[in-house]
Amino acid sequence: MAAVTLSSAPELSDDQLLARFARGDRDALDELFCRYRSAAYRVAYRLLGREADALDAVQESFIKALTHIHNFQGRSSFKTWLLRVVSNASLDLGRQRGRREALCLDAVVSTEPEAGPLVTFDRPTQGLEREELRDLLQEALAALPEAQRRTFVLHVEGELNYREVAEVLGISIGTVMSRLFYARQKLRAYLGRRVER
Amino acid sequence: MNPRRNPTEPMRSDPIGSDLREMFRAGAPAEPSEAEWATVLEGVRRGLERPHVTATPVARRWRLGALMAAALAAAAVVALALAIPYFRTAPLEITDEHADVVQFPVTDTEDVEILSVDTADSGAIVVGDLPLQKPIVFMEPGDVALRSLQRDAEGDFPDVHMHPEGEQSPMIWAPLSVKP
Repeated sequence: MAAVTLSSAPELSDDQLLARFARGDRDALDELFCRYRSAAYRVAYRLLGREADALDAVQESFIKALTHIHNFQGRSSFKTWLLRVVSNASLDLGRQRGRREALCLDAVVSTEPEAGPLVTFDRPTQGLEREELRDLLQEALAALPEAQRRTFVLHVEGELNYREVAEVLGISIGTVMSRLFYARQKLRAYLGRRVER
Repeated sequence: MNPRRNPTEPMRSDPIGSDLREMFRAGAPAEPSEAEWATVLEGVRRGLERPHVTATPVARRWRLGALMAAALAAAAVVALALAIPYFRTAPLEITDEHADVVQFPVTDTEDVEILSVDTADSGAIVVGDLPLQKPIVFMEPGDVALRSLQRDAEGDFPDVHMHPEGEQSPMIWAPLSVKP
């Protein structure tokens, strides 16, 4: 199987690639895939928590996004459309596979801090290997309400700005800001249990 | 500052915080290998090539469509034939199925005080009194003067009720008729 390599040719716009894809150009599909696969994967991973599931969600999302491409054209960017599909597919997949963690932040906060590796907000990687930090962040994200988690992940991992997140979720920019604010508070409260003081 | 932020986006205070962003960058999931990506891309290609609905032969679709259209037309004719006598004898009575439902006001005007509204959300809130406090009455008995009546091009004569019983408004409507 041939490896997928990133193209170094002059960049075509997403619209140009989509037009080529509509004419059956397989290279256009490859370029779109390479362009957005990482963002899609990060969003899916943060919502699902497992690499294999995230890759499944990415594959399913590219198929859905390109199959129903007529639903987005002219109204948003392809990336926004794709990440909308990714977040929906990830949540559907998570529910189907029954692995959505029912972790309640309030319960966690009310308990004593668990023993374990400590992180600091000044030097977040101190005292933790990357995998440990990644798992800790997954735990913290799982403690957020679904709406806040989606908003946070789309903004931080999907690299969507507030307006784009608002488009994806069908909410106002003010609501996006509000959700991000509360998500940050809860994440800091959760992670603060591990903070070295 | 958020290095990932779109430069065209208006500057706002960062609700995430650079420390939390840094933590998520440091704890980012490992990027899949090129072999894994190739497998996913191959799956995407296969998924896009796969027909999403079971295709029906064109000729069969045409016959199916014609049959459905004929059935719908027959059903419409039967329904119309059954409905004509009803429409000829009396106007359609419009009833409000919720007329007998007692409405309990959740709050009064004095109970609500708006302290602040986000600018982006302001369009979703209507402040003030309802524009309609009661049903709109287009005309009442006495508002309409009947000067003359004549048959229409089809030879039908309209039904006229200038002084219906009760408080109802005057009504004029053309009788339904079946044209060949």
